[in-house]
Amino acid sequence: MRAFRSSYTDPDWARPREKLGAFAGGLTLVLLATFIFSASAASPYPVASSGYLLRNWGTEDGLPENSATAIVQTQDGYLWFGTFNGLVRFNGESFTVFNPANTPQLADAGIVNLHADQRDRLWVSTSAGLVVKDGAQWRAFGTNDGWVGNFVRTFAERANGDLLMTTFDGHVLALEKDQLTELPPPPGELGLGYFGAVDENGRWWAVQHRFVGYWNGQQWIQVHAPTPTLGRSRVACAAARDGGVWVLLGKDLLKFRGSNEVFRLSLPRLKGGIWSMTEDSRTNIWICSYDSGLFRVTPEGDLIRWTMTNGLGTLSMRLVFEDQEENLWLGSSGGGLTLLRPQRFFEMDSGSSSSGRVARSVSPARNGGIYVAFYDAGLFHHTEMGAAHVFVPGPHNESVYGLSVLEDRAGRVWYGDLDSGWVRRDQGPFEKVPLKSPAGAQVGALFEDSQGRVWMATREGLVVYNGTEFQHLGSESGLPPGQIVCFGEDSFGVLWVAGAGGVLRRGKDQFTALRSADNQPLQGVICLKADADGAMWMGTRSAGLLRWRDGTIDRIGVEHGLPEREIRGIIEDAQGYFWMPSNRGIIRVNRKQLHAVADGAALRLEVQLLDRADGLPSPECYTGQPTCALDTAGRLWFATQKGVVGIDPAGFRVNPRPPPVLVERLTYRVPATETKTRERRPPSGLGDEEISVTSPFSAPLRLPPGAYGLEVQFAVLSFSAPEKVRFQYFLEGINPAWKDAEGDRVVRFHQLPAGNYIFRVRAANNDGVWDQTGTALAFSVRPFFWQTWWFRFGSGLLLVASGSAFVWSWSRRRIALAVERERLAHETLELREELAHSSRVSTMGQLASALAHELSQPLSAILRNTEAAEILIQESPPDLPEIREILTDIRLDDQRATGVIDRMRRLLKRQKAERTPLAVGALLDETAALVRADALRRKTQLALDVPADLPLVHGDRIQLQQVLLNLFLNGMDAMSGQSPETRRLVVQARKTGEQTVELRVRDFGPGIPKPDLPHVFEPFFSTKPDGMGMGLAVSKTIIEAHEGRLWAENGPGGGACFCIVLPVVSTAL
Amino acid sequence: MQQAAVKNETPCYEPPAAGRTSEVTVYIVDDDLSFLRSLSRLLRASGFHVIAYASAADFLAELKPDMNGCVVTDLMMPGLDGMALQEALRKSGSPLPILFLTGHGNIPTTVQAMRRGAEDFLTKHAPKEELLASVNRALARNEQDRAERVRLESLRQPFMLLSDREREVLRHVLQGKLNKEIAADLGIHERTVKLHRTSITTKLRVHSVAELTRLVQAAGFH
Repeated sequence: MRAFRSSYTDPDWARPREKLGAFAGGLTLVLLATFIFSASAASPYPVASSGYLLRNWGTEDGLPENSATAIVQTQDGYLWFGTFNGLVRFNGESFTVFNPANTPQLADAGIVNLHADQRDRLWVSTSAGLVVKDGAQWRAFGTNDGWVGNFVRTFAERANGDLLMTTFDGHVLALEKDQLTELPPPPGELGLGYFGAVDENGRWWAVQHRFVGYWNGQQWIQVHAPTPTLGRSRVACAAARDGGVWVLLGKDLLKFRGSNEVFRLSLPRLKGGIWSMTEDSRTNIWICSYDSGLFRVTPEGDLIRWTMTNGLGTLSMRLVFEDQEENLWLGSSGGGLTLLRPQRFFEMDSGSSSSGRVARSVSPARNGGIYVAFYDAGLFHHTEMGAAHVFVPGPHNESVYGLSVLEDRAGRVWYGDLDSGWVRRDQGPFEKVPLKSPAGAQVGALFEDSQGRVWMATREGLVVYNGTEFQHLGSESGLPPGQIVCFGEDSFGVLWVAGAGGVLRRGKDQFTALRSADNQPLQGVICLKADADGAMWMGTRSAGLLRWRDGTIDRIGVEHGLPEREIRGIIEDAQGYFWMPSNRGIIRVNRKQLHAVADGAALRLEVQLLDRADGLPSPECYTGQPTCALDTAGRLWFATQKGVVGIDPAGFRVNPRPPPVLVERLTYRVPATETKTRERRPPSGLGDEEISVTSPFSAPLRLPPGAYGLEVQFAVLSFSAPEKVRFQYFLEGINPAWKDAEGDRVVRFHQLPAGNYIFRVRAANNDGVWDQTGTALAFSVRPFFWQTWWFRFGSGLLLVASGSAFVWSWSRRRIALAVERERLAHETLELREELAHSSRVSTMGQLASALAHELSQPLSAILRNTEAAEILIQESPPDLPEIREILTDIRLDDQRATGVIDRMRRLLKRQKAERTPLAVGALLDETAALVRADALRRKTQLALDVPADLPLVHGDRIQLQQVLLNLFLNGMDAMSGQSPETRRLVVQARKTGEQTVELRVRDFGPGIPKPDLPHVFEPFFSTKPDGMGMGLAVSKTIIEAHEGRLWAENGPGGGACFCIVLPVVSTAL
Repeated sequence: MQQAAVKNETPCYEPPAAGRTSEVTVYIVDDDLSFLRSLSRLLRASGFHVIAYASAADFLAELKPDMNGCVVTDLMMPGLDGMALQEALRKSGSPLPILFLTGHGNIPTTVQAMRRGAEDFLTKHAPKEELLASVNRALARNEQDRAERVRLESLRQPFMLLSDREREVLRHVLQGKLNKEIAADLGIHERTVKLHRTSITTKLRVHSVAELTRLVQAAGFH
């Protein structure tokens, strides 16, 4: 039973009140009042509002019209929306629109209401009648089927599948045993629509401003008489989660069970007319008004109004729908579609002066609240009274570059600052911590051990305060030089430190270094955390997590499912979970599972990576200590790059629903002569046909011989944070095991040999929960007729029978032909090499200015070094070590200059093509080195993505480099008209199948206009004013001479992509 | 208030470590590490105090308002380039003069940079003498700027003593108005205006309106 509390005091709703009732603690309530509100609908990241994250979609994202009139989720997991311009299916990434143009059964594009029933039928009330989608079948309900009325106002369904429909013009219809009958009109105002609902006993309810009651099988029973003055648009009705029916009448929210009124809550007068009402699984009641925004009645009975300042796209709301993952979807008229998710973290706004600033350290305060050290704003104390700035004096008036803060058990506050070093406050004002020398400050980690001693790291070693005096520990205690970055204490009370000198443990007085199995000091450890199992966990800069236990060290890395290699902090909650800040978010993982993986008993971790999609203002946390802390109430606090966040780990719920995966589309290309079409598209690239098959697939799916460029597109139906979905795929017959992937929901295979295949894909939701089975699609690639057994057998017979008769004459002719062919081939080869060479020279011409610049760098450095040496040599005594370094630098610069010249000369040289096995990575590196200076000049970012284990390809190094050079320069040219931040050239190399390697050169420019696509490789085709139009034509000739393929396409996110497929060096040779 | 108490009772701070930010320094920014090293060596050998940065972002991260000296930066760098650095310096109000180096001169960029107040524009292999002269010139200008700022500060000091009303009266006096007019404009008695005028001349230690006008101009007020 909910305890209602009518605490609303603001009578005219002029200012929305923002509260979050879910956190009941005293401090939390105050902190919540200080939430950050931002309302930029254009941001791709969620907007935080009263504890919820909002995300909007509109026409610019692919909605056919800026509204969502109804929202349902079908059993396969798709979300369906109605708009005034068509029915829309949403897979989390893209919208598929159904309208009379592509679905004639849909009588009209205006969708008024939707319902997904238990039998997986989709009911669609259009502005031209009611239709039902059952699988692939559509059925229209006309007057012959018992249909009356205009459009459906509400759908309600009984547990047995019977349906109640109410219409806008006052009809009430029931579908029982698939028989549609109209019930007698309830005794309300004639011609006006009712809200319908079903209660826990399966009774039909109808609610209007003149009638509230249910149908007892014979007649309508009125259970409540609304006041006669009640306006017609001030009513709503919804089924209650725990049985009964909610009814809103004016400002009264009532609940009925049968004829009994069991609850009544008086609300202040709601502004505007009501469109609908819904109760969600967290027992919030959402009321949508069609002109005044959205209202939420919390389980505590508080009322919160949401308007455009909270991130809504419009004030005209139609409905709230809760999907299977408990996400809330808002439908509106004119404001598009909105996703609402409860924010997992709560942010702390420390008043105007530190809001959103860089927080470097956080520590719970003993008298309540927390201390935060802000870099650039100094020390703050957040209490129930709000945020208070704590003044810390410094050499420049005030110390504002806070790095560390800690309140020890005795109530002393310790604070480290970039300017003032270490200070502490005991009873009186802040005092400086005495150091050996003032230059030795440089604040590092800060830690209180189990005996209440406070440890501080400085440039010159450690300082420890034992409650009465300070002690300095330096190299005499066995500490190596270099800053200590973190402290830890194991279950025996032994202090551990880590830093540039490795990981050390403190014995009686001496620190001793921990060594790895191969007797090396442990490098790169940046945080330490002991657990109750006697293990010491170490977060590292680039190697994931290390576990030390009983003298052995085990590592857990990204290969075990850790989302990030750099672990910047570790903290454990009372539930046995580790929370680890990184620069991509906060990682949450069960400690028992970490042990299991470290022991080798489990292979993979189940991990949550929490980031902006969970309400972190910035996913990046700094290294240092303490950057995260556990307070006495069990809450966790984290310092992030944009302020401090807290979370109550006991209330953390993982999204338990594994996402359904569905293959949506299969696309492939067929060489021009072999075209067999299902659905033809305009030819692209090489004049080959691109064929696309969409779900539902007819089995068996058979691809014609020679099909290549296969693309499988699929949907992962998890809506909580689609961008965080990860997936794995597996092509039986090609891939040896599941392959990890994320990003675009598409997998490409370049060329598949004839045979039978099964494509499998499975996915994990935003919290890393996997759907273990996933989905599968079987298909086959048919062989060419000459690859079939009957053809080979038949032609063998034919050869034996008739061949010998021709052998004699044929062999004579063959000799003459071969001689002629040889001569022609030779001439062609020479011509081709000539053409390639001149094209190369012209390409190098474009690079000349950039290469001159690259050459001038080492030459200038040599000059400056020589001049410096001339001065140094006149001093007495001359600084010989420095001069020696200068000479080394001069030699290196000379080699650098020679390298530039060599690369240039190799490409300019005229030489015979020569095929050798080549490493793709080295080829790309060398080409990138040639264009690097040019890319810098054009402010273009060049990214190479080449796996280390690519097989070698067979080819001519110079010619292949020429092709790549051409593609790189073309890509950069294509982006010259746009802003520098968007100029990015991505070069990817991948092994595709056993026999081929694919290179993709992708730019983010405007792409190739569709009409130009078939022509880009034709000679003298150019879109550049000074282009000759030979570059791509020559490139294609070169690649084809290598038995490869070169084609162009437009990338899914815009921009052109040139793909090269080259055969690999056969290992059998 | 807390601030004052702390200051008076516990003078626990040393003055800022000598030379940490106040020493005249040449800040060099270049992404080509070899060139960065060679130029640092040359300038150090020529007697300058030098700090080198491999990127503009590194430098900006350590930028403090009380830095003295000048910046020598490469024009073309990945990420923030020289022009962007100049823009960032200008926005942060830093008075450091900036001197650009480039592999080869490029006229439009040069013009743009000079227009925005670049101290000089040199190619990376410019003669040593020219380079050192440019650095010296930039440092001299920085010093001059600083001296100018100190002078203005000392001239402006007495104006801080004026009350708001006195400042208002001063504004009217400078417009050449008579006491009677000022009294009417401000709605006060003419005798009060006279009292304010006496107070102004005493506080500013001037004896005539002409002297007052000169002082106001010298202090750079309008």
